Amino acid sequence: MSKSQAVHVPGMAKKKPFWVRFKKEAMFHIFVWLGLAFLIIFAYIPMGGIVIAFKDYNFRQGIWGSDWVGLSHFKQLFSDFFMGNAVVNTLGLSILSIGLSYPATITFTLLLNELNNVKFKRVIQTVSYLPHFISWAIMTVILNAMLSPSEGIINIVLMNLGIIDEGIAFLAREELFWITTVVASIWKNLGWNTIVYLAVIAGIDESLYEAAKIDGAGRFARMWYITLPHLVGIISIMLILSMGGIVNTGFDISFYLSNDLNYNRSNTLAYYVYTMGLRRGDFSYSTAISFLLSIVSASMMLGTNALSNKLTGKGLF
Amino acid sequence: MKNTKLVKLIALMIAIIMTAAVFAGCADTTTDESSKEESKVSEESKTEESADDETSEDESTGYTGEKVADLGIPPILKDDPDDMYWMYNTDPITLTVYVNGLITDDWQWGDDVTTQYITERTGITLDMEWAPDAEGTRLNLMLAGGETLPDIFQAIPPTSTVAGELVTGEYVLCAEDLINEYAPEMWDVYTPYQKQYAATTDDGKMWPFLVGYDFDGENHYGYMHGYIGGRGDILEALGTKNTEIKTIDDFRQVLDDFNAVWKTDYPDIVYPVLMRGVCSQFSAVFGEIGCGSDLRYDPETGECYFWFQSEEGYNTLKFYNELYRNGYLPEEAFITTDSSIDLMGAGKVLFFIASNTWESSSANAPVKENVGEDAYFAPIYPFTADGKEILNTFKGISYNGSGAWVTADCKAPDRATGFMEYSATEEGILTLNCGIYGEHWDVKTDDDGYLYPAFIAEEYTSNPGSAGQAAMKEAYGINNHEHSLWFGHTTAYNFLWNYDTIFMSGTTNPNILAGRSLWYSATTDNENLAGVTATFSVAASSDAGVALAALSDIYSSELAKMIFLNSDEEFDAAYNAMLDALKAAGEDNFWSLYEPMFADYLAKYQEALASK
Amino acid sequence: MANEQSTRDSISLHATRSEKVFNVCNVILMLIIGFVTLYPFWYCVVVSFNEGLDATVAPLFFWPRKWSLENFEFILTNKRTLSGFGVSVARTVIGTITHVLFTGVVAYGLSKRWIMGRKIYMLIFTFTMYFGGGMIPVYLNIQRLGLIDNFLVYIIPGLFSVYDSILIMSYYDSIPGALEEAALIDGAGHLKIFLKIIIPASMPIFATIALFNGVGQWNAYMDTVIYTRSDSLITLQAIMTKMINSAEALQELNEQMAANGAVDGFQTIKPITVRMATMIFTVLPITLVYPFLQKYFVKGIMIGSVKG
Repeated sequence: MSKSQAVHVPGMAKKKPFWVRFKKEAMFHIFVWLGLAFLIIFAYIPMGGIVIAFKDYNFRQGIWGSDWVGLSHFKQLFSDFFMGNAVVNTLGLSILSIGLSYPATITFTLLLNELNNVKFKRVIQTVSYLPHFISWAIMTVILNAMLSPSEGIINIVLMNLGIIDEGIAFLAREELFWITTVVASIWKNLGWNTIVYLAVIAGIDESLYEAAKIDGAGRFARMWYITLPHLVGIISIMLILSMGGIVNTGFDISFYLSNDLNYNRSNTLAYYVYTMGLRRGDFSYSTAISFLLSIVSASMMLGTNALSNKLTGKGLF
Repeated sequence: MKNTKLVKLIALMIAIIMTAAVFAGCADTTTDESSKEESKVSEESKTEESADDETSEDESTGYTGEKVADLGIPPILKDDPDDMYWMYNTDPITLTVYVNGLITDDWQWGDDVTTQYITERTGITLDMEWAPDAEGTRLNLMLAGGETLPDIFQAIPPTSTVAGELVTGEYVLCAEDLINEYAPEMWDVYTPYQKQYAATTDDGKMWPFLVGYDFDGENHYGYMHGYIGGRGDILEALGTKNTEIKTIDDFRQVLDDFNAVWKTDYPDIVYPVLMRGVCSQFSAVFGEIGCGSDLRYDPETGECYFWFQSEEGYNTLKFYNELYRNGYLPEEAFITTDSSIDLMGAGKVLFFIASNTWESSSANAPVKENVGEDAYFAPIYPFTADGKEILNTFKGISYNGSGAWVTADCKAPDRATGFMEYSATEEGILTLNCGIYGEHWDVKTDDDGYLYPAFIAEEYTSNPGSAGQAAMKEAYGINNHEHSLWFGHTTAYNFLWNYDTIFMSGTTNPNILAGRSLWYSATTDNENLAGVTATFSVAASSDAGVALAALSDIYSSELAKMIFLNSDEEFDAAYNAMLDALKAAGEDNFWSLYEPMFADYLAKYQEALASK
Repeated sequence: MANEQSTRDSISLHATRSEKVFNVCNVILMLIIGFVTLYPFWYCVVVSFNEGLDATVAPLFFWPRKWSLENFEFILTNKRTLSGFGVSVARTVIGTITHVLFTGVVAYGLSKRWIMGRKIYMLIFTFTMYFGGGMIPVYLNIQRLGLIDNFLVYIIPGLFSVYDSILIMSYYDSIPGALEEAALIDGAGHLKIFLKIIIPASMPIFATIALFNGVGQWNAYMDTVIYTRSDSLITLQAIMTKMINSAEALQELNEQMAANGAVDGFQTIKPITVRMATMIFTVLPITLVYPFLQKYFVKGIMIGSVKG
């Protein structure tokens, strides 16, 4: 066993005995334990309630008094008629959404970053995130107004340009549902999503750019070789976290924009599960579904994390 | 390797700590809940004991004590008993109420003369709390969190999913038992069907205090239940009237006449026909029974079916498709989020088809504002496809989403029952809805010799109609629906429909009145059992309810899409595909669950009919 | 700011024609995007200043047709509005600051990938992002902690967020280790390093998290509904959501009554215009605060500290 060293040198850590190493790292552990304590109190203690998923929960009997029903809720879930449809819609919507919104956001961030006039940049940035605050309840009204076959701007413009003869009822057509809502989502969240990326860009050492310019690197070269690599880390993390969120995609969209005519494509998992829970008025059933979906989410996140580690060497774990 | 061992040790320690935490957390909950259980049980047995005492007294000597109050109004349309429980105890008491509905302002009981008067009469003051959101969160958490419940729950319909929990979880006392114990005269105040309709629990008892109303064919002026409302002024301009459209071909003709001048004379009209979803009741036009449920019953074969599975149902759907293909029913009607009243009020609608077109009269005020003084909506004479005089509509019991429950924690279940009793009497209903007898309203006689209540207060007489009604509300707090004072609400309409056009609805439009009396002569009474499915509902959380929900998801969507197809072949293909899809989704299973339950209900219903 | 500009200017002497074209195109594109994203918001402003009934008749475009303040009156004439505003401000300011500091310091500990058991810590932390007990166990937990009807229910359960800590950690990776090394050599403790060096260096990400969290605090509504009973704890957002609900309830009620034969006096207030007025109220403070935060999103913070 080697003696402790005066200065902490990370590479040498493995050779030290446990307590010595721990003393050196103690402060950091304490920092982490703050979070740990918080999670134990606010996340892990209530987590015991997950057992509701395997019980027939009754208010009066409480969590521990209710009867066990094992996997029956899960069996019921899989025999629900519209489940398959909901899964397909959720996957389709998520893939389309991620596939379009990430490139759009990053492109917008990079272009925004290239603006020379700082005031103009700030104004555009502020204006671009305003739609984020428009709730889907309001967004629905706006979309209805804009997409109306008789009075909506979009249709009027398309008709005047001669592209179509009659107004298209966008929200009535199931085949148009996904693309319509994805475009609406991007419109809504574009500016807000760039905030994190801009924060990261703000941390990039300016001298790198100067050096590149002096070397004759053009605008696109600078973006490609300096800015983007710095963003790769945050982009992968956001993607990994997004993957975990796929199962929840589309709740608001389904809640507000689905109707009898587009139901086949607007029925998403999150919304379907919600209505099932509401209809049955059954907490155990809802908890069972949430639990199942959580497992799916977590797996997707872990999977994407592993992929990211392989491809870029960076990841959450 | 030492390090791996250490890491594993730490992991194990953390896992143990976490597991212990989880159990520690939950163990506490158990002790809390079990101790609560004990105290609740002792409370309940106490109540039962005292109730037993009272019951034995009641049985032998009638209501005990001194009578301190009497009926406050003369009988108008029903004769309430002279001796009622609430009359024997008017000591001041405050009952806490949780209302599972939203409030629209800062109102509280006692803020207006009407509720003050009721407190004077009964001694009871209500301390009301409303739901903070529309999802019933507070109620669920109140039940789950083991809080002491308020005395009364209000606005929880018996068919809601939480209602089942209330009963099985023993959070509430049984209304039927309470009435039998404290206020047996109250059965005379209720109508015969209410008890049956409220019995949706396994033991067949009436657990909530319901208010409801029934149509028994004896009402003087029946209930306007037409399916089409239309712009009277446009009809006149086209050379016809709402009362002159008598067959479906007349209807088609009017639409074609309109089409000729649509773009030139009435460019604002977006919806020659506005129908917000597939209207199942309209099948009455094609010979089926007009009934509020998607499920129908065939008395001849004794089988149940979905409305669209009959020939009449199919013809109805084809008619809708025809309207679409002729350009009269745009797709937008099914997807717009604007309300019907807004659309009609904005002058965008010619005809409005719905299971109940009273919204079109509600649009009268805004349409005058937006289009012009001459514009108005009136009901269209209820015609049939084959020109027959009679349009079949089931007028069964209906109730309006209300349900009051006395909780297991109620400090005075006898007084709570007394309050329910009062609010179900004619005096209670009319006070809640119209104000103080003699001051705000009086009893009059119409030309046919029928008694009816009429507003006499200055606020109304100086400005009869909706404005006057609104002024009365402002001044005296009558007709208090915004605050969910539904205790006597819907039953009121039973009486008020006997002469309601001027009184409650505040409209004096002769075209509307004319449409109504024509309608009444065209309906049948409710001995036609084909429509009884309208009054029977399966609990959403039951197996039948779940099966039905899955089927309805399918047909709601498929029916809507079918209407917007462009050819007969496509339509028929879609129709048959839908029927197949329903079979594949377990339709037979649904019927096997539903039919026995319905048969039980039908038997009870027929019993009630016979005993009337 | 000035540095940036002059640096760019000195380099732009070499700007090629294609770069100029790019700049122009970029500006045009940004203008289009700006207009397209501004328009729905402007539309809401227009509608909220329009009388409700009139708004339903025909579409509005760029200016109110029937000017009216009734939507704003409707949401503001609630006797609790003023106190609600105070509560909202208090919870937003206190909650956000505590959240950023707490999460930031935990993230600092977690960011050291070489500490023992770090992988296990990460697992324990991220596990909670996906698995939870549900509404009722969480409610019971809060109840047992004595936080029901207590102002602290707005602060304490919000102290830490795993998601935010992940974002912050990712940012910490970009802080040169040399800074910490230098401070260690000078004899500073880790806490001091965090306060004196890490926080200033991480302003962009802290500003971002503060913005996200602040917005969340300002807009929060469910916790007021579920965990509070007293009027003194009602937030502005809860009041406004209530007003929207009541406008909707009123509309539904009127329609229901119409269905039953009672034609009521029609009202000119419509839920949708009330919603939009509410949204304006919600967004306004954020648009006022954001410019102050924007200065943290600036390049060049690192240069001085490293070179020095």
